[in-house]
Amino acid sequence: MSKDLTKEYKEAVMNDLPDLWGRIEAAIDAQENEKNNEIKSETVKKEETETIKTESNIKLVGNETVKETVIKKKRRMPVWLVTAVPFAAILLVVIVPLSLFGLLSAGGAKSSESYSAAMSDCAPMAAEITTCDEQTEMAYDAVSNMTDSSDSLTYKSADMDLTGINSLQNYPNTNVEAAVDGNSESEGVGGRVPSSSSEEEILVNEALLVKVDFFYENEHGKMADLIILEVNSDSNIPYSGFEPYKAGQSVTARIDDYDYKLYGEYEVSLYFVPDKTNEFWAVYHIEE
Amino acid sequence: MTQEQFADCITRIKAKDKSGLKEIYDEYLGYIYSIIYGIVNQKENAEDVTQDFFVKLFSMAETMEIRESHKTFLATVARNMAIDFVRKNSRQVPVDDFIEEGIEPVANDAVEDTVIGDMTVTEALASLSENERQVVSMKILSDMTFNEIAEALKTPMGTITWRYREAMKKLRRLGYE
Repeated sequence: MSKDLTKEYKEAVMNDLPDLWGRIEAAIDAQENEKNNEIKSETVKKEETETIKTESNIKLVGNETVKETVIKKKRRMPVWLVTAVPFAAILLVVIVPLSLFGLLSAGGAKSSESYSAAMSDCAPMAAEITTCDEQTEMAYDAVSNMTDSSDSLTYKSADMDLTGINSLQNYPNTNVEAAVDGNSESEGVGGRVPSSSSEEEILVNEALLVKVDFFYENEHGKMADLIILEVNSDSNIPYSGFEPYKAGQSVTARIDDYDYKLYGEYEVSLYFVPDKTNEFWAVYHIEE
Repeated sequence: MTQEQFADCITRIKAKDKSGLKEIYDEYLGYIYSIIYGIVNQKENAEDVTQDFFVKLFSMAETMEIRESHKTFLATVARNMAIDFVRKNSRQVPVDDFIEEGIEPVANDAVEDTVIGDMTVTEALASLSENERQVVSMKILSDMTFNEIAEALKTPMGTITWRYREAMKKLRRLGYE
């Protein structure tokens, strides 16, 4: 007699069926509680993100200590502040340093160059002026002292001292030739003639209106190709070695200072330096 | 339980009313448990998975869309959960306390003739090897095809069919068809 395996097996399982409802209910409740706690914790977290715990104080209330947590709402930044802060940062970081750097570099370079040039130019002059001042004071004292006693002596002393002062005018760096010769048009001091050949240089023309065509530098120093625009015939000093200059001619000459506007029109005195390089030396007359 | 009754139960579950779940539990516990037991093949594990099944049914009711027969739907969910359990715990050797162990397999025809009339299904199943018993359980209790059993156990289908045939041979000797 054969038995039905499927039927008996299923019956056997069903007869031994466990009662799981209690466990299922408990598990569902636990799951629901867990969900509720999760929801609560999520809401608490959301609230925490909107608030900042600033401080936590412990206060004594009666006989009990109570922990008090002060919660402050986060302040929102105003719109103008949001836009202004990056702009200010850019201004500080980029624009201000650039402008400062530009000012400093331009001003610093100029001032340092001009200062050093001025110092080198003026150092011998200052020394000479100091000595002249001393001599003048001495002469003045001598004259004032001698006035009471003897007039002739006074003149002699004064001539001597004044000669000494005039010798200053022959100092090459002072460029006083024009003043000595009575050139009233060229005021001020423009450039220098070479000190080493100050005795031998030959003034060719002391009032040439020239235009600097090209400026360069070689082993002789700072050179310029000058185009003569205008010649003051009165001041065109004849010299056996040169034809008188005419407007439109060009001449290459050594110049001294950089500080002038190189590419422009200027009135210069032109010297010839025969001893060494047979070159010309142009001395600017800069109007103050 | 009709489809409408089941839908009503689901509606109540959606409203967090456990009575809907209780009705389904009363109606289908045996069905679900036997499916799960057929796969996990161990009583305590089957109880755990069955409990998880009903808890899951309660929580998934909100998004549940039943397009087929609700019985088929429940069977599919239970089977998948049981298969997942088996795969996760594949290293653990299942010990079935439902089928009493210690019964020696019947090897002698003479002895077989004497005891065959008294042998219960549990005793007959205990005479099978563990692999054979699992295939028989999945086939009979869980209504699974050989292909589904092969996929669930990650075993070639030929091996599954061979085990089933061997198991049925033994059971036939014990008077079961």
